[in-house]
Amino acid sequence: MIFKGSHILSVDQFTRADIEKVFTTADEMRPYAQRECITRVLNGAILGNLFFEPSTRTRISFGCAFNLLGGEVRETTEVKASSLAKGESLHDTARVLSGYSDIAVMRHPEPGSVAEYAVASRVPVINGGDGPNEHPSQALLDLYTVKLEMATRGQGIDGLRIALIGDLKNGRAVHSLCKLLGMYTKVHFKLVSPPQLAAPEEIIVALIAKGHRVEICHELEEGIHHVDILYVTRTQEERFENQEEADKYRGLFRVNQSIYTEHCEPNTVIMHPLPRDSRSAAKELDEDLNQNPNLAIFRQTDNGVLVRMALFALILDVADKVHDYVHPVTWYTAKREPVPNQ
Amino acid sequence: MDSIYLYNATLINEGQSKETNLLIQSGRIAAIGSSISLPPGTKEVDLAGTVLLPGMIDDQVHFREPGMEHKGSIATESRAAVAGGITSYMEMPNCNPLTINAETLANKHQRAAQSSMANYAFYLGATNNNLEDIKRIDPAMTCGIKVFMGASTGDMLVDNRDTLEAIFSSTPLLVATHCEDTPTILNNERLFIQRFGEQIPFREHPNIRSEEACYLSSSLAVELAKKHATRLHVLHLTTAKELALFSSGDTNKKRITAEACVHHLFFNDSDYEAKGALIKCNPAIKKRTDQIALQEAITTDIIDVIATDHAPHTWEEKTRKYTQAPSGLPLVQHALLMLLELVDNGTFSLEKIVEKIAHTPATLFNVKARGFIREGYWADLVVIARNRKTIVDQSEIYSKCGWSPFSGHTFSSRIEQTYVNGKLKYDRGAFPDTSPGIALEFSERD
Repeated sequence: MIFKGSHILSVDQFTRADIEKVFTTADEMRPYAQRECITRVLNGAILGNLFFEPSTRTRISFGCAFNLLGGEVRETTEVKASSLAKGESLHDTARVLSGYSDIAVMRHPEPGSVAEYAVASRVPVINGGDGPNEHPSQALLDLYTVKLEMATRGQGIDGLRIALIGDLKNGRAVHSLCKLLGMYTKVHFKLVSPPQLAAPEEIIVALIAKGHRVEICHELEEGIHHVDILYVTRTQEERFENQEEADKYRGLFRVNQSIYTEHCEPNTVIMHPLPRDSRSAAKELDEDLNQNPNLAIFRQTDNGVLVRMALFALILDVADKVHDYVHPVTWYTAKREPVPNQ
Repeated sequence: MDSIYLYNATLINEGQSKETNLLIQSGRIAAIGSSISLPPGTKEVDLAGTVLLPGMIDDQVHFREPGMEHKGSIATESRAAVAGGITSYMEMPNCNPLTINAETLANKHQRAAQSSMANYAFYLGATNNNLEDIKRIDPAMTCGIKVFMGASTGDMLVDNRDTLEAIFSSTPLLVATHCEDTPTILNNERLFIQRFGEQIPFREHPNIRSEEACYLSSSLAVELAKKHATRLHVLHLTTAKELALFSSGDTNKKRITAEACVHHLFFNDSDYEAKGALIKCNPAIKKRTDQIALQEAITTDIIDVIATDHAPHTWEEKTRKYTQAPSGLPLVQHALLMLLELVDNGTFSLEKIVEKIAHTPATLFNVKARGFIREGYWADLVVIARNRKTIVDQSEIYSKCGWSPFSGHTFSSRIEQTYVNGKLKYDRGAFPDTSPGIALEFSERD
């Protein structure tokens, strides 16, 4: 794909080469995110960060990524406060707001809404999640994390063994990640969920058609051994008819340190799109895993900033200029990458 | 000089264990046997219940002087060494300034002549541009040329193939190498920093300083040595894979010899969980299978000597996060005790240990009149109680850094006394004689 000026609406837009392009660009962003130096390549540029549905990490991650490239961020977070609440069409909103920024990120509860908005937008739009439909930057940062986690073992994404666990019916992160992984070769998927929350048939069929191995598991224990990655998801309670229905699945696929020790290979990496429900009753991904060096969930969120910086840099066509606008960091920062000392 | 009579000793020497007595006169072993006539005024020491070994000749230590005295000095580290039963050491050139010419080498000799409690020798460091200094050096001044083949120690990294060829082909001296391939390490390090950021777990150290990095470099060293008939000594082997590069047999018949270090024989990668940075060293402590292979290579004489690679850093430095915590650990004080623990668990015989810490280092470096308990040889001796425990107490750590990876550990034996040149230097927690040791002398190799 040609990144310059493109809307990023779906993972379906990407080829494997495009994904690699995003990843190598993300690698280049690390010194800036780590505060080794700052870049002002987007000095003067404005991001419209339009969140018509609650979001903390995605919204801040996009905003922070834009700031790290030297640009400014204009936030719209409350649909009630916006003109949409007064009956304005997405078309009109898009036409108006795109006059105020150079690029936009948009989240909206309605599937397809971001694509609809993009049609009328004068500037590129990145889908920050349109209901249960798509969340391409999440899938990219997940895959980028998989790549980095596997690289220290001398392995790539081809031949990966991954268990996707939990609400595979409603989880858009899982759907998008499956599509991206599907572009690689010989991936072994273990889809671990109760039958009622199984992954959509078309996703499974597509993976099998591409020559991947897909195993359906209903028991956690059989699903999590002999895999490289555990990708645990939360029950998408907001997508159920009522709380009682959602509660039925609580704790079915709990992962904690003792389950990990008993059933997982010692280097199995644990991922989760976050937020995880840390209340003890949630029984999702226990906090006793926090000391486990293979718990990659916070590395995912850190990597998310790099991937989003890469998307901005590629779409605004400054990926090869980032290093030309560099300044030293003058303040104290605990993030700066230490210099190896022997 | 005073005469000392050591009696009721169980002597472990040259593959044998025997009950005997020993007379020290003028710093040398004057007589060994059951009926020795004592000169008047001889001090008599009853060694019943102990074993008497030749003192350890440690062919690889870092004593940090000059330039890094906050980590250690010749005085402090040689004191710790003597407390650990080490009577002679060979010290590494990565000081500040680097020990890379006659002047800096002479400076170290002067310092040691003042303050070293043990006998000493110093390596001359190779750099990418001191070939003329190497060629000109007086062989009596150094135990060998130390080449950091692609290890990251600042200016001493020799990564130029032509320089390596020149060093290997032109020096008549022993070439001792640290073998780890830098490009491999840097690439691994980049991948791990990408994955973990600043929080790289210490257990990943052997995956960064990997088997592949070791093998690439040590196989190059062996290849160059074979090509140029160099007298090569490869330091601190850590992997089973590298052992295939070396041959078994008598040390004095080998052109290419190998060393293993106490910590690589004692620890394996399962110890990172508890010890973390405290056992971070280069080359890294690797897998259990590597540890076992190294132990077997001692027994089968593929590895010629056991050393410590004693490399102290301050506690503050050592408790930093992975990328900032320096590599190396203080070992001279406990090295012999570590090895005795491996004797107790059946890994080694005591005779084999004595061979690898005293006899073969002396043979390998052609050290004159040391390394064996023989009449006429210097009385470098260590007395060990095999039935007394050593509880490693913080207040009895003699290295300047003041910490040990063994704090709180109980060793099954205890170092009772250490004699250097016939002088009682260490006596059950006391240092009755702090006079300096002397420079090791080397004879021409055949």
